[in-house]
Amino acid sequence: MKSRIESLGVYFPEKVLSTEELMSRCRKRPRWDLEKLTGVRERRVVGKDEFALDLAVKAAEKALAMSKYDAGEIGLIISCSISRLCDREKVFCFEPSMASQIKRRIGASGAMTFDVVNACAGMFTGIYIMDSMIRAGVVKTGIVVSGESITHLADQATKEIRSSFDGQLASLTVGDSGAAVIMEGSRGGSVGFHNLDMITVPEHSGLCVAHPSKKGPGAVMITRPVRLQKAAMKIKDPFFKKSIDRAGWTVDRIDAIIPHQTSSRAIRKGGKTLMEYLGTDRQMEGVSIVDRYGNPSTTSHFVALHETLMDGRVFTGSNIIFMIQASGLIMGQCSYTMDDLPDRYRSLNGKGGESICAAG
Amino acid sequence: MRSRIESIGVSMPGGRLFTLGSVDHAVAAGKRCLDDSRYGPAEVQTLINAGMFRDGHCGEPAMAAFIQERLGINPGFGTTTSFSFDLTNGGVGMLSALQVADALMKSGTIRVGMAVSSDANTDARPDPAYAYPRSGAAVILDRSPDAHRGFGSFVFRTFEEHGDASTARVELFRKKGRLRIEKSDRLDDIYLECAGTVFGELLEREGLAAGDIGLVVPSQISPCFLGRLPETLGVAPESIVNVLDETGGDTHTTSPFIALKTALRLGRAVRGTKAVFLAVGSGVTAGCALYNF
Repeated sequence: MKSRIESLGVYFPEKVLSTEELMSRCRKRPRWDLEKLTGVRERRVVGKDEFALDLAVKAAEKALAMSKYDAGEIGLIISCSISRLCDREKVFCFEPSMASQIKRRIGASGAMTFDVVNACAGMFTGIYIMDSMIRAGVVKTGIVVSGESITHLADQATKEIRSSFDGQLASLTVGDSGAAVIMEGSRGGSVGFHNLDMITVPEHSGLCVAHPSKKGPGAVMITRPVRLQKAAMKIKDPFFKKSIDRAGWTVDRIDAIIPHQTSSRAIRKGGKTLMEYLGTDRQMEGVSIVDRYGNPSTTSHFVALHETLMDGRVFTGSNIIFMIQASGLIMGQCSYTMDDLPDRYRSLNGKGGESICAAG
Repeated sequence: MRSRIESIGVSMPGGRLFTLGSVDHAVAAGKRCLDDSRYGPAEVQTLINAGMFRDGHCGEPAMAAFIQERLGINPGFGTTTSFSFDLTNGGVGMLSALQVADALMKSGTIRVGMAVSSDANTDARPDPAYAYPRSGAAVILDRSPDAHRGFGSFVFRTFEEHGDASTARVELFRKKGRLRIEKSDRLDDIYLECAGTVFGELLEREGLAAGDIGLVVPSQISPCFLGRLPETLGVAPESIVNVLDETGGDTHTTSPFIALKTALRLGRAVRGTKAVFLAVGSGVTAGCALYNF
């Protein structure tokens, strides 16, 4: 038995913040043109009384609206947020779990709950767990959900960045969003997750670290982007090949590659080196949504999937490769064949009235 | 197929270790666990860290990555690789991690898994309400060679109506952050009620009576909680493992596993003993699992 994505919900806060506006807030503005360097033109940001927990709940509600399951049928909720902001600014909630709070808000009376923390690989770590829990027969269906009001890191970076080579530059690229997937078993079919390969290479664990600021209130993320990218590049290509081999695919059978959303340059370069490694003439770039949503951290792949579903790049029967990369250093590759989710997603969204995926 | 506890290691509170951080305790427990195991570090395919309170309130990467590196569990990209992550669920986290490891084995995803946990509050001026002595625990799970021995059912319930009964928040509006703990005065009562519910469900699912359970390995919440547990569960008082004197207090996520290590050392679990691991924590979440020795 495989597991598959039965429903998807993606939620964006309404407020848009341009890179130009964000950079103008920097106490010491880096000399780089961040938009040119990363491709991030703008990102969504939460309103004053909106927190990561709210984004997660809204995404879960949207996923439930499209699902054949009621909230009461959900067997397990796994929350995967990095930004653990639940009900007030600058306070991270560790206990009770965010998953238990999501359970209360969506009315999933029978669900088990726990949180997963695994940097930007959080949602795919949740999927890795949910896949096993479904295939082992522990639960029939469950929600993997994440809300990220992570632009508090960008706010902090505008206050603390002191040079053009500051370790907090990557914090200026993040964006806020929520995403939720409802998973179920897929018996005997060709659709669903063919493989979920996830590894941690911890000799690179110090290359991206987030913690409370030592200079004042707030939290910071310190990244060494060049070394991180170099380390990831070494691992990515052979790992990717193993993944498509395990799915029994050839490069020609891949309809979309959905990578982690860091910068448009990294996504372009990643696609090019990958095709060279595979020795194919096919020109195939990963899906990029960084221009409008920045780096949405844990929700990256599902914000990108939402875009590809809406613009028709992914359709029923599409073969997709998800490429996961996160601090740790975590690398992951998943090969996935779509069921009729794209049709259902577009049809529900196109009904008029309430949108399943639009902002607000 | 059943999974079983192949090896267990703990890092006790107190003495020299009192000043160790959460990663240090997890690594100390993990090393002891690996020393007693038939498996080498490179054979551990998945490492799950269930510790709640971490050094410097680090949010990224997962503490599991640091622990994996220091335990020498495939730290580089080579012929063998491992995957690690943090799973947090308050005081129930370690039992949730074992449920996940059990499912990873039953689904054929892995053959050998390790769960670790540790808690430490490294604040310069800790909240006086934080009373968990620093400690670590680690467990290696593999497939049981005996169809009748090892883990049976797991039962978990979240009683979200008691969501405010126990909270832990890190205040980032203070430089370096500060952990604040709040607990209801009624917490023991709530935990006992929730524990009784999941214990009853487990017995029903396994077709057992309370009298069949020879050993209960619970979260070490308080002397009062442990004292009232036999009556709540309907088991003999001598079946409850209490290690509060050894640890000097509730060690949070590690407590049922420090209790298990002690029970094994004292020979309280023999072949044929039916044991129940019972954990309670914020949420309020209660979980239990049957284990046939």
